[in-house]
Amino acid sequence: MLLVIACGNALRQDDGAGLRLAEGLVAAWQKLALPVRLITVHQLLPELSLELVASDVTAVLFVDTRVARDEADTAIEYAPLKPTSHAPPLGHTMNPQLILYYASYLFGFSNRIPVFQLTIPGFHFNHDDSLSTTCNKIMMLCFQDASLILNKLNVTLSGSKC
Amino acid sequence: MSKTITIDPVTRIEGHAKITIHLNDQGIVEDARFHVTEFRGFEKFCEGRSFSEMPGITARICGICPVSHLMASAKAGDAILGTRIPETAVKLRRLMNWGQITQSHALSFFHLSAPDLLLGMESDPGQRHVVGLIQKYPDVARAGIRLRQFGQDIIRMLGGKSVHPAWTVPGGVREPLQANDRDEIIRRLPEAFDTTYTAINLLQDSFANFEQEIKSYGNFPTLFMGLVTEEGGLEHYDGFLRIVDSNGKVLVDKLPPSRFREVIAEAVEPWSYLKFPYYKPLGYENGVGMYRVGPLARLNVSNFAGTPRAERELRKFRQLGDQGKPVSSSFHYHYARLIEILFSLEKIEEMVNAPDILSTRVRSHAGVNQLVGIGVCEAPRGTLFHEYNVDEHGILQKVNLIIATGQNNLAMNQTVKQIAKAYADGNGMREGILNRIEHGIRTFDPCLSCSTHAVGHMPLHLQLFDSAGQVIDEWVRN
Repeated sequence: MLLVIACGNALRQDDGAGLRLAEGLVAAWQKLALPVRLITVHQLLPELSLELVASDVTAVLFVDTRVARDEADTAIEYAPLKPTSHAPPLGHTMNPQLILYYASYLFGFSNRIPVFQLTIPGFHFNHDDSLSTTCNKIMMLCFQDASLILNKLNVTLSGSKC
Repeated sequence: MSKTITIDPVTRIEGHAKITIHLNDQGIVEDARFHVTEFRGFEKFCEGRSFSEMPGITARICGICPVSHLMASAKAGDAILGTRIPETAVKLRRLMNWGQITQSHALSFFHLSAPDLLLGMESDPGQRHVVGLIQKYPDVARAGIRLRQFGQDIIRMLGGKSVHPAWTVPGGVREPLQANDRDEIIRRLPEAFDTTYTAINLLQDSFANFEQEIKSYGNFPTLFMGLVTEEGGLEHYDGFLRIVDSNGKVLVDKLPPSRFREVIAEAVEPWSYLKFPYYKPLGYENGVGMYRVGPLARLNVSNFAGTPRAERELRKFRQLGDQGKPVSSSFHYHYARLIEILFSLEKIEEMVNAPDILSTRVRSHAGVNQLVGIGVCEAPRGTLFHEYNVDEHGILQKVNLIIATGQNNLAMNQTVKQIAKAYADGNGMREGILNRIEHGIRTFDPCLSCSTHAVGHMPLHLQLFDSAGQVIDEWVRN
């Protein structure tokens, strides 16, 4: 089963884009009969590590909004993740790598299970429940590429021994 | 030439802030300020919305304590409806609230404060964080995660999900508790109690190592405020407002929370987006109206806990006060938090065994009958006020939120100053001193997401300014 963890605040404009993106992708994948589970959170917190070590998890995908570097930063970024023992100042949130570290060090999460992060650029973070025009366009394009994203995961899922 | 030292942001608390320390020409700390640099816009954002949407909207102020906003908002909605909610709904709301106190306090102790408490304030900064704690005390870290998960699961069982559950509504709650969920809560309580006692023992064993910190971490006279039961017992959901002074003298008692404006006012300062609530009869000048809220304050204003395990720990807690006075050191917020976890677990155990806990009568229905609704409850960090003004259609005209962390603002500023005075001198700022100042703030477990709001995150950045505003030194911590 693919575990999707999406993070963000739906009332802070593009901060909620990761949530919407994950919901749309999961809905598309479920129509393909892919076993997938979605967890949406306001921020990453330690107990998520327990979700990663559920017995039926074969791959993990973190989905989030990143602050766009500039107006030209319109790419969906997709990258594999590894656990890190480096703990940044926790501040408002943990990062996926630290969640992975918790899961690995404390609960025996297997390093054979692939973990990825997908981020969409965000441009406006004011109090509103709508997305910025640019962010919304990028998200719509990503929905069109749902199968491509799944293809990347499919290779990993089918090769996974877990 | 006087100097300004800035710690930006404060690590390991929700949200973002910076600390500015002002040295005089002799390198002695003259002043210190805790700046909150984010803008809080939820109050304006909510105008024009229906009051019935407010639980769901205000819960999204924070991902750590959304349940508190759900409770206060729903109670404000109850007042607008002019309705008395079913007794089982009260019980279920309390159950969720105690689940939240458990998870929030567990996060504060195990993940935010334990690295300093168990690894030492001046230990290697490369290890004095949660990963260092995990490596040295893996069993403690595991137990802490599972305790937090227990609190979150109670919230999820009741509300359908553990973050922002759309379950508490004006008039009651949406769904009753299911029998299998009740049974699971009962089954998991023993481990939760064991973990809490593990934490209490670790903390009590550490007291001897922190005698100086106990004296200097926010240890000064203030008022204390919290809700209490009609009999003066520890209370988190309903009850009356009580305020006591640093000698334990009761200044305000049995005040219905909706009348809070008779005793609480808010000031503003140009260097912070947080407001500064104070006790109105004593005024704002010179900090005489300063009061603290949260676990330390709640234990100080209560006559008793009312549950056996928490009562035993409360008796030990009281011995930390000077000659029977309220406990004044903010360092003991840590102990107060753990006592409140014990209390919450005991009340959860009591509540899930109540004969009517599975009743399906959980919501009353009404229209708009009042144009002002005030909802008050005890969030993990302190007393939370939601005040709504609506029109006859229930559309919000004005919203005012007084957040727990904001009420500790004056005390947090005073704490920074006190610690800086105790540990800083003209020779500069050692890593351990910097962490002490941050830890002083963390004893309050502030949630700056609630007081303002945070988007994104940034590395720790220390800057040393001269009196002309020039950076004369910098320290980046990542």
